[in-house]
Amino acid sequence: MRLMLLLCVVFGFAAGAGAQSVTPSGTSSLTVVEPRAFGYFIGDKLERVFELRTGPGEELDLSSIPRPGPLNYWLELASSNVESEADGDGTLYKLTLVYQTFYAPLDPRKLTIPGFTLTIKNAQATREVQVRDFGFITSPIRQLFAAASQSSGSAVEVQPDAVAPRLVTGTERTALLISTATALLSLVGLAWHNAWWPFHKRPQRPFTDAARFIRSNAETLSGPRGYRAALLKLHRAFDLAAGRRVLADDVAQFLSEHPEFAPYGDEVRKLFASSRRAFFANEVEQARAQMPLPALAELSQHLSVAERRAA
Amino acid sequence: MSRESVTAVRDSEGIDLSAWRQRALEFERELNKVVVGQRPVVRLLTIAIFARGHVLLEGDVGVGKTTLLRAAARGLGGAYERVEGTIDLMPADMIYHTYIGEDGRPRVEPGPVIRYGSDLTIFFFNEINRARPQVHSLLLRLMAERSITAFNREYYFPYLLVFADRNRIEREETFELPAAARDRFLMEINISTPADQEVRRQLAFDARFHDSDKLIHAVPESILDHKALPKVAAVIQETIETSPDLERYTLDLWEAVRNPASVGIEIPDVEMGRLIAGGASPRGMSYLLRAARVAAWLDNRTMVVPEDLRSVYFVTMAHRIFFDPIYELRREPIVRELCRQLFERVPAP
Repeated sequence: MRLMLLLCVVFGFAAGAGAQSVTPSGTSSLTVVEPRAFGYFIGDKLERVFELRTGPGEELDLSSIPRPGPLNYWLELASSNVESEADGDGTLYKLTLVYQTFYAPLDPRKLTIPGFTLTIKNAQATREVQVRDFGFITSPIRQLFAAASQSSGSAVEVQPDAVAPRLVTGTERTALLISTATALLSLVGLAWHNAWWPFHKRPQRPFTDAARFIRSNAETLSGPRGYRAALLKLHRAFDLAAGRRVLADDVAQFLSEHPEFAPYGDEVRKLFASSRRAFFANEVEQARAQMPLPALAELSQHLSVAERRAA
Repeated sequence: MSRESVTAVRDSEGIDLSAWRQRALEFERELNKVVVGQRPVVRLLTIAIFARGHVLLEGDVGVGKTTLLRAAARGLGGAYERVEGTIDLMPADMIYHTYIGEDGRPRVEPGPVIRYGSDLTIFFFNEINRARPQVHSLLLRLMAERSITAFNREYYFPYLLVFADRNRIEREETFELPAAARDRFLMEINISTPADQEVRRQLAFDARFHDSDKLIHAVPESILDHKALPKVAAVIQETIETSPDLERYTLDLWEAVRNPASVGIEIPDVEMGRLIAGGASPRGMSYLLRAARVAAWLDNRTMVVPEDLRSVYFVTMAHRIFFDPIYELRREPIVRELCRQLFERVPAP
């Protein structure tokens, strides 16, 4: 058994890697699993694992764990990870630190990762556990000067970049095509709805607008002023539909030019009669009695339907 | 003035507007028998008579201008005087009649304008553009103030209406009316050959139309009482109402005719920015409203509507709109298009 232990220690030194157990004072114990201590190049990572066992009522002060970030000009702590689990009446912490070296040595050289201190605290006091430095040997990737016998640059030329792997994009491409088509269709629909080019010659729907205006503003149009506003909206709709201003005397001509509205001729004439009373005889109340707002709304609705049917 | 107070005024003056309207319509009917196919012209003439405005008729030769005016004069009753515009007519010839008496001494007597004194109802100036500008100047006061100075005293003509006509065919030996004289005419009515085939056939073949004297004598005399006309006209102007909306519409029209581009009026080959040189005078606008009120009354309404303005706009306003000289030569089609688009563009009410 003693022989085995000796062999392990010898082997461990030879491999440069191994577990090192430190038993600090008190009940806690720290076990360090170091990486191999040689054969590193610029950019390589080293992983140091610490297992810290604390006694009852004790815990590791997490703020004493080194934080990721550059430690000096060539060494960076790439990541720092701690896990804990209950171990008997104490706690077992497993701390994994990954270092990365950016040192570009000109010859094989021993470098040292600096040690640090972990703090363990309990209810009464704190104490510290010292972690030792770790030395490792790093080497250049290539020889510094090409030998005269070598063809020029064969050893110094940088290898060509690896070809980037091609991603499979079938699903994305299909999705892109579908969404583009959908967007274009929506744009066409919007252009038609707003009568943009090339639909700018689409006949306007003044009565539909008027009907919508009267329907959606029924509350505000209920007074005499609102009644006048509703009449004006309908007048402007007639003007737009005819392409000129339509006066009461022009109704017959308008209806003959736009036969789709002819079925509502009586109502239209009544509208113009009420409008005359409201605007030119100062008899808004009588006009409202003759053709109240709901009748206006109904007429505009009918004209709107007729307008859409004729389009 | 409220409607009640207007009724009171009407009663106090003993003017029954509805009876007068019937008489006006009868007057129209009689004129339409004499001059067929000219209903719009007859209506405008009736409006002018009840608006107490002077009328200038123009058109081709032989379309019935003179016949219409003579028939209207007969229907109105009252004293009637007629002058032919000639190039040697001078203002004094209209006021004084000078001759050598039997005793060999020169005599001066009242001329055509003042012969009947204040009873003169129709002064008919035939071929007015053949008279010289001096004569036109005399007309300015006669038309605007209905008065004249002669024999060192003032003559007043409360019932006077000036009817004039001119033909637009020839321009030799004619004098264009000055703008001030044209502005004093309420209406400038264009009268053209009837387009209707049946009317044309009647005019050509019906013997009734061959003798204009006989035709005019068929019109009953004094259908309208010329002495009551000024009072009737005043009552009409007071009775027929204009609403604030109509007033705004009228002002919009006024603004639009002075600045046609602002309402989007476009006439081919015309630069709208420089078309209007002036005109559409305040007097013109007041004449327009006067005529529109009468039109509303003839249409049996107590309020003026945009249609009334439209029906009289061209005849009352067209001759008061003055164009840039470059467009004056093409005046007729441009002014017609301008007035038409005016009513198509300015929103009413």
